[in-house]
Amino acid sequence: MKDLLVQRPLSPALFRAGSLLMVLAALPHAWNLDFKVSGTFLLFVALRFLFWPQPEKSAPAWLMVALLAVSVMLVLYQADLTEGRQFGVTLLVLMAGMKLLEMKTRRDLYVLIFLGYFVLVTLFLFYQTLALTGYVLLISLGFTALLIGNNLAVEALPLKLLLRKSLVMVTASVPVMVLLFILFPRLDGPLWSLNLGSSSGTTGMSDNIRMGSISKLSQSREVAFRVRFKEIVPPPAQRYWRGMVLWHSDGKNWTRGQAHLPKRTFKAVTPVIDYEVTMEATNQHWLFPLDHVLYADSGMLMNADGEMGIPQPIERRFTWKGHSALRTGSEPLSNREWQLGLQLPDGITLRTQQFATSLRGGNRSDEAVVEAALDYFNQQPFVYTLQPPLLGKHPVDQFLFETRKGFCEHYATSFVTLMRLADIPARVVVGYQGGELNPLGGHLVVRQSDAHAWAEVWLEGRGWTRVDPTAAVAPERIEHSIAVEDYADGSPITFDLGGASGFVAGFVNNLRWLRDNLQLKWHYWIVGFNNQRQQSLLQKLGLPQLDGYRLGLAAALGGIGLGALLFAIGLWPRRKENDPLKKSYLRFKAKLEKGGLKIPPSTGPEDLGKLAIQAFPHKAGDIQAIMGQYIALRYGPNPRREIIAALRSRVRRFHL
Amino acid sequence: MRIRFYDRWPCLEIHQAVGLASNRTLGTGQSGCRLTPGKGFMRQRLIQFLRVVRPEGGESTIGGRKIYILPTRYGLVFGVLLITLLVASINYANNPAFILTFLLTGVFIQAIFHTWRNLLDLHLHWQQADPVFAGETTFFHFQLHDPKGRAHYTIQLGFNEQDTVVAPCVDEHRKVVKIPFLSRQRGRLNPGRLTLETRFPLGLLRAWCYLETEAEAIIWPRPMEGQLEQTEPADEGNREGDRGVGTDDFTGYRGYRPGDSLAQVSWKALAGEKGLLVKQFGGDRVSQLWLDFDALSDHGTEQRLSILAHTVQTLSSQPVHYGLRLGDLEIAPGDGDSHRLQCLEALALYGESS
Repeated sequence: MKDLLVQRPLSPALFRAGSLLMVLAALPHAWNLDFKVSGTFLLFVALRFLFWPQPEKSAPAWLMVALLAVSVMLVLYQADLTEGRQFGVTLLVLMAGMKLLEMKTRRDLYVLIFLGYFVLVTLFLFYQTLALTGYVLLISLGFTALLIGNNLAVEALPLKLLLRKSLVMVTASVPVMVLLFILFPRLDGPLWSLNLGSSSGTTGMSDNIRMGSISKLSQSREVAFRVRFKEIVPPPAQRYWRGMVLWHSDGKNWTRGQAHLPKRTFKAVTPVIDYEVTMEATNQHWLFPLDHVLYADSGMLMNADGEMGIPQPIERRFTWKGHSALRTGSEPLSNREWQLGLQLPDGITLRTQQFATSLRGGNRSDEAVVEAALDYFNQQPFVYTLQPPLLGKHPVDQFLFETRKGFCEHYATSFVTLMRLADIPARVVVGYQGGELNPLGGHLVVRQSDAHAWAEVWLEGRGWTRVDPTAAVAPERIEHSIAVEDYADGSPITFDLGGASGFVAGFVNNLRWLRDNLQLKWHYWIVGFNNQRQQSLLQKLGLPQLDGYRLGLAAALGGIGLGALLFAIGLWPRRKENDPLKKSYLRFKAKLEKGGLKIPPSTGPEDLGKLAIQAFPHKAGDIQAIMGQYIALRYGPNPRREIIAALRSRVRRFHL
Repeated sequence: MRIRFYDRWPCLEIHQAVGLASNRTLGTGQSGCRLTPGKGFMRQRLIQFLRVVRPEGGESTIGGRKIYILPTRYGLVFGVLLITLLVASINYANNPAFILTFLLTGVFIQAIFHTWRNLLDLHLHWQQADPVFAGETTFFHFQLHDPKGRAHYTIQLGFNEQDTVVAPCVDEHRKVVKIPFLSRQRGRLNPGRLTLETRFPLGLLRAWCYLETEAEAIIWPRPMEGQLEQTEPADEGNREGDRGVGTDDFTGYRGYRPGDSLAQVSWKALAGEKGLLVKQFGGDRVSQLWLDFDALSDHGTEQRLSILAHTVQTLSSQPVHYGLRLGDLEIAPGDGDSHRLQCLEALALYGESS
């Protein structure tokens, strides 16, 4: 039989709903695509609704040809052949716009909906967040409802019916989805390689600092990475996340210098801490292990400075395992390191030089020199601020003796300079410091505002030792994170001391933790679900034998079986006791039986009344009234709601 | 009569020999006899293998095992879409994309069951068919309902190679669906197998089932203009006046007698204090005609019937009383719609064994 519906013109309601859903599906691409492409798509939609707002009349063929030419030109112009993703999505979105322009029949709506599903999937090529996934599922629910509407013969859209039906279908598909998701075999690599391109604008740390570069990071509450500790959670004061080691200074800038020696392991002195880090995209190679790292797992790189990285830049969330100890064994310093560790920039002022000499004083030990320098920071009126005054030609001198306002970088770099002047090998380390424990998820959240710089000095017998001059000035900075929200320009920094907060603030805070926890769980279990995690999950479920094609087979069979099962459950005849009359009657019967009346199974209402009157003559009036009303309602025409209610209350009042 | 039929449609004998032809097919030869014997036989055998819903007590109930289901064109396109999405998800190792792909897969699986269920438990009850002239479209009236009260949407019904109609079955009261059938020749029309199908809810799958029905329609002979040679009035009406008591024309008043209908009491006269009078009606001032089959001797049987049907149709709109003589059958002169229908039915069924 020919399908009678497909040839029918679209009803205006279907047409409008389809257009709206398509625009909503393509909406998040506005952030991903060139504005010309988004603009063209919107232009197509606007053209349709300005000139052909009715479904019966669509854009004429010549216009479609012209617009096709424009679209192709735009795609080719936009085409970046190294970026398969952008190219494909641009094409898809423009096609969807053109389909909207020429949509006329129910057949066109099918095509539009299929295009819509496709557009929705391409959104995941750019972002894979929980929120986006929720949005996509919502819109696909809408498309499914639209598909149902497309198969209804009526002109108007019974929205409630459509939403209910599609919700039932989509909800019933969830178990199948979960099963397939868990069981579907995952490949380790892609089927073919396409350059996904790099998304610009990700935040992260650069591998050199100049005075002021960290403060830019510090004001961002964005999550840098999350850490889940296996057993030992280091105390807040020990949460240093080691990034890059900066050796070389030209007075203003500090850089890593060249040639870093590879190294395999460091010796642990304190217990080994195992943890898992989930990093946000940075587009850089750097990893930030807990200080101090012991060794790198395969696929990751480590050098003698304790810097870690991976060969490819991190373009999407990335999870890795780290192994650290709070202290490592001392190792001798190489000549090269002596040289680098004592390198001095030009432009050291005499005042600084003299101060460094005074620190050394009467032949004090290296430890004492470090102490003396820290004391200086602590006792002089140094202020920790994220908006320090600008420094001129001799930044170290100016900072130490004049402005005395700065943040970690200023303290770390000037401290290292002082140490080097006092003949102690020293270097600057940048990374993150701190992190808040998510009370719900039990993991640590390290934000961009936790970016930090500190110093390391080489001490005889102890090796490279971490010294944080910032802690001497603002110990709260080390124990607590900066409360960026409370911070106004130029004012001294306040610290989030975790003190008593109001109920609302606490609630908001809890919500924030919940969100953070969800994000990590989402990333860990959904976005980062791979071959290994699949195998370990199956092992936990007691299905270790499944792999390869057997897994695929199980997925397919399980999916269909589960779908059938769910449907069968839905088919199960449900007891629908929404007949109030019957309810009242049964209740009345139950009351009589409770009073001692034996009712034979096939007693009709009339006989029941007679029996009851015989058994309970003193209640004859009530029984007669109830039975009379019941018979009239059940067998008479048009039962009225008020009378049913009256019967119900009469039965309720009836007592033997 | 029977023998003449056999002469014209020899294939009927084969049907009888196989024991498949029902009386109804015998009468018209419309559904079975257009086929050559061999093809019809093959077809009958094929139908035996099909699962067909057969009526019980006038009502056909669609059971789950009688329903066929296959994807539509859009279902296949959707399948291609799913495969494309799956390949993309695998290639980019994109788990949220996997989620959407698998969710849509689940929706497709759900659609299989929901489409199937949209036909399940439907009850179909044949009511009547509109009699029409051969060559016109008759409508078979079916009652569609679900005793459990479950709503069914967008069900397409149609006979083999005929136009179809779309109907929902949403509320508990029985919905009447009129299914068209383009008639070809006079007689009893057995429409044959009825097909019910649905693509609801997603249009990705088509579920259908075949129903045997007890439906039949009377198809009148195709009207043909022709000269009736002996259309002399069979009985001349009394032109002077009325020959009896009728209901057509007002003739005068008479006194009320007990038993007279109150509707005929002249209330105006009573109000004018003229006493209780009753209005009298007469009629029958029209001519009476006899339409005789045997009088059309120089035409073939079917042509004669066509001419008679045309005449009946023409006369029914004129103030004429007409009677019909068809071989042994004689319908007394009369007029009105029921008379017309009686005559046309007699013409339609002429030749059928009585």
